Amino acid sequence: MMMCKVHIFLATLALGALLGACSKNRLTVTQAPRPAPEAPALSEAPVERDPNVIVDFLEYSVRRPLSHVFIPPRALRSWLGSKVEAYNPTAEDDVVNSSWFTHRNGKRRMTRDEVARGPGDGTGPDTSGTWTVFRANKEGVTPGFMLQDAAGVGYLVKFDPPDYAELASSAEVITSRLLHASGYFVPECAVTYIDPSNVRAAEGLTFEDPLGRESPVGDDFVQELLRPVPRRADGKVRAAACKLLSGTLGPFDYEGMRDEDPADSIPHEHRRELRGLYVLAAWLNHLDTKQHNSLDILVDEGGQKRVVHYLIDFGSSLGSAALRPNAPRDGVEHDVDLAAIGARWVTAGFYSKSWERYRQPPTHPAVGFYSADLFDPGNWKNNYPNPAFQNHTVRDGYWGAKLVASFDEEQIRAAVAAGQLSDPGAADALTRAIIARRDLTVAYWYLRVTPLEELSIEGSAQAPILGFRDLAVSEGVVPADGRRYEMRFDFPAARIRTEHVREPRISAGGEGQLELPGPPSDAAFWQELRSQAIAKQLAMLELRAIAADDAPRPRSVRIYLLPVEEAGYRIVGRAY
Amino acid sequence: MRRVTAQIPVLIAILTISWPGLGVAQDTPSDSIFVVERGAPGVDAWDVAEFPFKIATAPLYLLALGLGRAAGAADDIHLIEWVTYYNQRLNANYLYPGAGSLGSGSGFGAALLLGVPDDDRLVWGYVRGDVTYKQYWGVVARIGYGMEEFVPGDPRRFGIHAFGSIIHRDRDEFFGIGKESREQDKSDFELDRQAVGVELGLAPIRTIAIRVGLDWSTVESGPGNNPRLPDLDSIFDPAAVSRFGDEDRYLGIGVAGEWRSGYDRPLLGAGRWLRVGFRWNDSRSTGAADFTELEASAGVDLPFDYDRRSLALGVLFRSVRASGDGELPFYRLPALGGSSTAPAYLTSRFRDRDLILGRSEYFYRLWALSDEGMALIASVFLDGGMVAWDLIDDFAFKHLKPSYGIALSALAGAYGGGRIELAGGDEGFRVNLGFAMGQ
Repeated sequence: MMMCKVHIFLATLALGALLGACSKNRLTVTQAPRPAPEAPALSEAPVERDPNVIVDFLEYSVRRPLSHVFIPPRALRSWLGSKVEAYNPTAEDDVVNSSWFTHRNGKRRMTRDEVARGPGDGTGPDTSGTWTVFRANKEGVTPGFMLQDAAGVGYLVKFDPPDYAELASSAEVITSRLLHASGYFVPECAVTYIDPSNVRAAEGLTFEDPLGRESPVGDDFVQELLRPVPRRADGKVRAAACKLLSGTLGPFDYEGMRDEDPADSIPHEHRRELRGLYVLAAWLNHLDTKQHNSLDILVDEGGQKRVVHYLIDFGSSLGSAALRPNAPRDGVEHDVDLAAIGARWVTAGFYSKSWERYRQPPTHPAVGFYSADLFDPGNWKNNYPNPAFQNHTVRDGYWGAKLVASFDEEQIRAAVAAGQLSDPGAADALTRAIIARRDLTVAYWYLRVTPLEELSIEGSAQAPILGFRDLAVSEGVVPADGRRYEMRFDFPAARIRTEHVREPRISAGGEGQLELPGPPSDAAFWQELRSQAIAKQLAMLELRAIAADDAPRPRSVRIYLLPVEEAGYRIVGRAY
Repeated sequence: MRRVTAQIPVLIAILTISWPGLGVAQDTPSDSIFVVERGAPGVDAWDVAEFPFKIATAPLYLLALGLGRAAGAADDIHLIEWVTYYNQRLNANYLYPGAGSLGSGSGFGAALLLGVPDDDRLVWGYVRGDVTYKQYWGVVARIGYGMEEFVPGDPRRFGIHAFGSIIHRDRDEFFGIGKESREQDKSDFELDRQAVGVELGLAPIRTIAIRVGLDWSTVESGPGNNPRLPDLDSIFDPAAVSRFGDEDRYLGIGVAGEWRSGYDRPLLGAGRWLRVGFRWNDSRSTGAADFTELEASAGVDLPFDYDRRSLALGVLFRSVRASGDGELPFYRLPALGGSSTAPAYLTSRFRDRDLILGRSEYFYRLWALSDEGMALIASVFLDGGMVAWDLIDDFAFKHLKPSYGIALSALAGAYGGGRIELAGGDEGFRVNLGFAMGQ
């Protein structure tokens, strides 16, 4: 009987699957005005998550990749690049401000000071008095401390590795500044200088040794932990101090949702903000993007509780691998990259990656290895696979690339300055590398879509004109001269369907115009049109940039147009 | 219960299939009409295609899940740290535990070294005990001046030591003598060996080492104790297994010289070596012959392609010759076969007075974390070897027993390493597994 039920269930499932076969993301037309979504309130505080890092590593580095061997359709799907788009883009192919992301530099250019300040006031901890250690552990050869500054504010303090002064602390601060300016939530971090003689152990301080044993420790032990940390000429030690966040709920998973949070309704691996983060992580070489380097924070705003999602721990970014400089391998291969290992194996070692024959020294001892040399923006790899990153599509990549492109040299220099690199040469080398990787990132993604923005309808109702800015032109990725587009205009209600190749005049700033077929002007047409459902009234304009011979064929942009009598059309949606 | 068990794979597949999500709308509120391409797709063709594979592989999924959880639990209790901690505690008390296997035929087992306190490292020594699951147990005690074996990397250039050993091997395999011996004549025998001796080592320059040794040994052979194999004397004539069942006492004097250059890394390093050893064995037993042993070997490792790949070539020659009257103990004949000589054949598959072996192996690095000394290295090898009564008269390429195959070596830094190989030859394919942990 039980088996019979299973068979019925399987048959139902198979039928449902066949009916839904080949479905893609839904095309949704909505008419009713909607307010910005209110995050549903939490009824009770969610449980704090504490996932095991080894389990996480094995899951994403070993079990998932191996599943491609045992489930061939999955391997085929991956090879074909068949992925669903993010679930939450808006009609402008963007995201709304939320507890995951809020538009900053991408929408409104931040000042140099705003970038340099980051999420706080940019001043960092109060170093005028005594530091009190209230939690201590050892991360490799350097200590990890939670300290209270003279003002009683709690900080997580991370030091540089012994032979690489300024390496990890500058990376922590610089990357946090750029990710904050991009729109993500990050803790307030600043470079600080601590006089070891002013560091005291809190009463009852315990230390957890590598064996997991906790024992009470005092001032002497704290001084001993600080011993390997590089000292400056004035005897102080340099560190990155990140203000502790209260209300921690543990990390968020890059896959699935937090069940107890009703506002967390989109699987994280399908969130545009997290998929698009891939592009920024690649740009900044933010390698350690495992879930343990994220943090959910419970925020109480006037009695309304909500969860805000933070990115934390940027010590393994730019040229730093936290305890050492990066190696050329970092960013090109996962720590355990079964695909690369398998490829080398079956080709008897003839398959190789770019890093394996790269012999350039690190950029600078304080910068580590961070370069545009081996950087491939579309094939960058973090330490181990991240499900949101693995799901990223060209649309997500383009979204992220626009954030990267929003930073100009002045802003990047401001972020680098927050890292307080003592050698101007190091700061300059790092700035140049960040800019070079920015340019590669922008070029890569802007060549893979038809990057038309600032869309508008101009002209008259009879001769409407689409105004746009082609970002590939404005960013200097392609020349304005000769920029051509395949144009398909489909207006079923008016029985208009045209296909052309158009070469509009485009300014050096990327502004261009395209003439569109106007809707019929007779009243009968409009009367009949308005009697139809909204979805049937729409016209669709599809534009695809024609790429140079050696460039990839870009995705088209589909622009949805609602016919209106006054202006011809109104833009009501787009997708790349 | 069985029905429930049978449904587990189906339930796992159902749980792991992707379903449409129920998303809260997030839209730009600036317009009353908007079009978006978004939202969760329904179950698609890929899900349908994957479904039967998910059911079929559900047991593997469960296994992987279990292994992952076990690894997580080990991490939670700091298992590796505790093992390292206790190992260091033992080392601090001059105890060095280890485990290993030398490949097919030798079984695997544990070893324990007991060192002698030696703060200035002038006098050193150890007692080593080995127990293997399959083949032998043994205790070796050494004491002396100089540390070239005990502490790797110690550049002592002179050493002298005395040693004593007791080794019991109760199921060594034997197939007959000569290149025409047959695999189906597999039998076993037992050996008990006790030895004492002194050895002098001298390295006048870094690339050259010379050793001179003197030892006394007694060896007794007898029927093997593997119940699945016939004893050696039930298959072969006594003339074919000279000195079987007798006790042999020998006084041995040996000298060996080695030239070695390069090798700053254990694998995929560049280097060349040449080794020649000669040993004279004077019989102290009635009926046993005096005999001499000659061994010569040479090899070269040629890394290329930014040290990603390497070609290793080597040749080995062994020969024994009796002098005067008496019989040469059958177990002193050079043996070919097993992971250290011809991996496609059983251990000591061929025995005779002369042995020659040519080895070639192409290594290529699959993965490495250089800081931690961890690496995964694959290789393809082709070896050819033969035994003969007189190699000069009998040598012909057609007599060479080939071993070809693939291997995978894992290096885990200070934790040790392992190698698994699939080797094919005239007698089929074999899988050999070797590993070493600790000492």
